[in-house]
Amino acid sequence: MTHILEADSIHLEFKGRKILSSVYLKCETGKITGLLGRNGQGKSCLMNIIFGSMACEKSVRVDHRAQYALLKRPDLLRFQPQFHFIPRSLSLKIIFRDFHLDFDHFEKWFPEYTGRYKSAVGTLSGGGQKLVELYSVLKAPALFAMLDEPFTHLSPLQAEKVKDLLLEEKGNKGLLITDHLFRYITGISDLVYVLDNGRTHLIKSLDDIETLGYANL
Amino acid sequence: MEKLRATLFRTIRRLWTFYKNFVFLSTLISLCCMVLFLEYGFSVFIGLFWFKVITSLIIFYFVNYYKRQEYYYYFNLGISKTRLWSPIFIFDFSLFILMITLAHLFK
Repeated sequence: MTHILEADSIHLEFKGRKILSSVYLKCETGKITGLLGRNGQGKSCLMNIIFGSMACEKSVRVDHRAQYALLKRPDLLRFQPQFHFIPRSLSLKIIFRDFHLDFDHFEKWFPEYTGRYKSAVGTLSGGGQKLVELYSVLKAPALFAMLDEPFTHLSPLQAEKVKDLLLEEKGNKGLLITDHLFRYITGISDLVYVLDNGRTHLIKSLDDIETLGYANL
Repeated sequence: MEKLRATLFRTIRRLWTFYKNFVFLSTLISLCCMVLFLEYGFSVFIGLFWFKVITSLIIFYFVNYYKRQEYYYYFNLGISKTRLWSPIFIFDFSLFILMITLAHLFK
């Protein structure tokens, strides 16, 4: 059965400046939805609004049912913000237990973590922490996962593995991802939206990215 | 029953992880209040009560600011800010009242 996450009627202003005004975004299970946009266009704000960690006028629905605070529904949505969010003192063992994850599977994908099961996440490098956070949100049981800049701060090899991991996981849930490394996004996404002047534009071809002033191809 | 106990244990552990950020300072404040109560008795109780309330609000303000990124860990587990702070405040205040009561009993 396909599940749908939709967001629209979002109005966000900062000091009289309109950030988001005419947004429509749809994410389906079994698909990767990419979100692109220049800095300050409100990509992270949009994700926070959908998650419920930023308050504003909105309509967020899962399977046509209104959801006011998805952060209280980890069975529906998990969210990886662009900063480190796992308390540094927590061990990988506790994190994996909290997110109902299998460390062996993680180890198969990332053998560099062998023997780190009982290590505190704070003892890992920045990229190492990011991978643990990314994996936790991505693989934890839920209908949808939102990832804010999943490829940033990763080495090229790690980014390639994350790309494969995303493709593997899209069979289990709907993914909404945003990153400035847009070739990764366009390479794996089934749908791509560009956020420009507070509006979402569903792109039909890669040329639209250039037309909307996001990047030169 | 086993499942309920495991859920309860897990919830307490998660709350404790967050509470650890300021448990030392908060308990130290309660301890100071206890010592002052032992010294001066009921005449200072109202003052100590408000001191505890105000310092708790200051701690809340700073933790809310410096640990705001960690909230997302708890959000991802379905624990909102209210569900995180409420039991911690209740426990911390109960500890304060318990310490004052003990001071009163042993005075």
